Amino acid sequence: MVELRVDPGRRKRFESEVLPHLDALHRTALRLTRSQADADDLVQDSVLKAYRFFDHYEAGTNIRAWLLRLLTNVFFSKYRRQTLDSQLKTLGQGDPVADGWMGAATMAPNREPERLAEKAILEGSVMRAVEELPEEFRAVLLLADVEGLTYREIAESMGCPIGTIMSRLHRARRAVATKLGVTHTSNQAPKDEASPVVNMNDFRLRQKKEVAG
Amino acid sequence: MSGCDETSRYLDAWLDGELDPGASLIVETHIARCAQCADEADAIRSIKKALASTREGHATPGHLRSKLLAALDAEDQSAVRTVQATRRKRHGSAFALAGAALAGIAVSTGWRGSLGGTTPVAGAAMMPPILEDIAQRHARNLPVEVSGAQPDQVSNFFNGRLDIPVRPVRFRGVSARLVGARISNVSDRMAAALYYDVEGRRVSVFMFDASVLPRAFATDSLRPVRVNNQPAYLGYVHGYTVVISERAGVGYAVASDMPPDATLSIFARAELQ
Ligand SMILES: [Zn+2]
Repeated sequence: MVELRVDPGRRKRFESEVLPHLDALHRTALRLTRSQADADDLVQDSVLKAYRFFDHYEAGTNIRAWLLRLLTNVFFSKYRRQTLDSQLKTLGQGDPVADGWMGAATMAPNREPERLAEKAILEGSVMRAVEELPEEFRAVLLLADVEGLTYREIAESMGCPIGTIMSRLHRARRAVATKLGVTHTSNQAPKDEASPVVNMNDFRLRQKKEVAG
Repeated sequence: MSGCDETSRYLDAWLDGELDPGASLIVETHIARCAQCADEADAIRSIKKALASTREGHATPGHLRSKLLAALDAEDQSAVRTVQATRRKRHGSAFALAGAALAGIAVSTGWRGSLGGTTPVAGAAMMPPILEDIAQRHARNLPVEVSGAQPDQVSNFFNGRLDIPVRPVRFRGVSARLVGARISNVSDRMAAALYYDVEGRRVSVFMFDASVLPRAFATDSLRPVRVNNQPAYLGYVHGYTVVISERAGVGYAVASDMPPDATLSIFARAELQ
């Protein structure tokens, strides 16, 4: 006899696990899409996807990271507007965003004595700066600094190696710093993804150590 | 002393607590002596702080919350309808396995959509990589590297070539013949491709390291189903059906050019290790 059934307890479990994270999903969706209507659709698509794939969620693991991963995936497969190429050009050299990226020798004589970084950054202006970033960089920054995901979780969300995530995070934060005028950075922006800021060979991640030990 | 460029590279991971103590010490030592890098660290720190504070005070609008609950209701409703529809059309399936009773097969579904026959999955336009990949490898029907119906011979062929144990799948209660096998790939991982003749139809079974699956499950338009009380995923692309599941770290994908219900029936008869 073929047995076909729908598990009635599943919906309850889903709601109690997932709905507490709705605010995180919505604020991330809003900042990724920059549109109320698109954010609603993105959240709904992601929640339905989570519902369909709920059996695959491993109980006890970070469900917020799992949900944000689904949301990021849906965003990049359905709502993305920019190609990675165009994004890299946007953060590349010669662009206003990159104007703050100058060699240490160039900048050092002009450095203001005061610690500009200690200026309070207003929430509104920091979020405006984030929203002006290209999508891939914006997503990494939101997942890291707003949602507090680990590098590993962000790498899984974006489907990129950790080195790429670190490179994007590095560039995204400095682009924001430049927009806000909180730093005169001394470092050259890498020109493309092929030369990631971080050389994974001479760099040891805490996570790597945790796995080994 | 390490330079400013190097410090800047590691600065983010250091501030994020992702750097190990040894590398952290290098960053800390530099920052203690270099005002410029200390400034940079302060700037990044204040950005992090400002961004973290935007977490507070955000509330999902009420209209979205009720819209979501309604969407979940609709999802539940269509799951029930699918179950009813599948029950009704069970015996009228376009493809009936000759002589194979459906005894002992439990298929349940927690999602909407048709498991029956020719309806392609709604998300097929997204061309999911793993689904597409497996369907194409099944369709290409490359020559076998080891032939014959001897499961041991096929196991031995893969021994040392793949990281996973490869034991040919047996099919219960259905006429199935192992035609041969070859090394293949699934999502850029080496995989075993085993070719079968099941009731005169070509069926491919791919076996691969299951660690490629979680991402595929999250991104592909695969539909979760339960077969013999085990989770499995069903995809339909270009007229090919793929059923994917996992046992003990080994991913299994059964691909055929039959419709989803027939492929699910075959999958339900496969003895996965
Ligand atoms: Zn320095």
